[in-house]
Amino acid sequence: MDTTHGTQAQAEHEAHEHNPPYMGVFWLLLILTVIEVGAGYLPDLTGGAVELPQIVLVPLLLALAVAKAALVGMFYMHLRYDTKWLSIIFLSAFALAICFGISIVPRDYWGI
Amino acid sequence: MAQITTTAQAPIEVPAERLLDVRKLGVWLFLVSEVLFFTALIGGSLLIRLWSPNGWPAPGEVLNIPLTSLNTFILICSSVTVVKALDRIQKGDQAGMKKYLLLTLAGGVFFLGVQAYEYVKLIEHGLFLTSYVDHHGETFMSPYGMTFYIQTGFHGAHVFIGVMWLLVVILKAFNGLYSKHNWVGVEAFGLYWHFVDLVWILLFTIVYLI
Repeated sequence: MDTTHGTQAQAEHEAHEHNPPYMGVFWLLLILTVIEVGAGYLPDLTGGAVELPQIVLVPLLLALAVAKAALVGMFYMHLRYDTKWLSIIFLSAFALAICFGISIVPRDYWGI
Repeated sequence: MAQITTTAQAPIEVPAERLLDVRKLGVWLFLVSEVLFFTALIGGSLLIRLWSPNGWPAPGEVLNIPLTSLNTFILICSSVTVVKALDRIQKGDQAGMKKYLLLTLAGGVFFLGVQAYEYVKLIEHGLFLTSYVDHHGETFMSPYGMTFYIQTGFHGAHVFIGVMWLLVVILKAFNGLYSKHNWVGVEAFGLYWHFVDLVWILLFTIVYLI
């Protein structure tokens, strides 16, 4: 039981010491979601005056999604405050995911 | 400091900040396997999309983006309520923890309800595994529906399992099994729930918006 108590004491110390901005992250997630959805509806909202080309829209939406996922991981899953080993373990899986993603894209898509 | 006793040696003094709860580590390792699972799922679906001979419907042409945006909002809210529940019990507030756990349950059930409604409407509208109907009423043969149902279906299954896990956590909470010094059970569930939210954030963009 000492072990459990020890780790909880550690987490208690870390969480309270840093006091994670849970509600601040929530509002940020909400704003980013509104931007994401709004970006696709720009032509409807502006009567067709503004329309982002796919080459801008797709990277923008992906960047927003990654930013939101990072916020959840860092603040709600406490990776920012926990031991760095957890981040290394978790992010290593994402590194493999990115390699997998790059490797499955057809060759002509890259122009090679 | 905590003591670790081995059979062969005298107790070793280990600083508390060096210790990591085995349950928490177990959940993290499970989540690593989940990252690889969803990578295969999403990657495979993207590959099918890139190779699809009949093209792909534009965002919003088949799927209901406003409805799913609402569901995304609900799932984000439920992530906040989990983390609030953990924060409350870490401060010894039993009532606060129970309140936020129940709100999380409501969020999870609402999400599943909206997803079920969405599936029913899409099937009525003609979105099947190998064909879809566009907004002009024209039918296209495409694996679009298959990739949609597989990705969102597996995510929905994760939400369902999360709701089942949450019911166990709530039962334990109402039996007084969590306290200011014993809350790893809440945190372990929270990690899983946040991960499911994280996956949805990516799926929402990839499946609905792009």
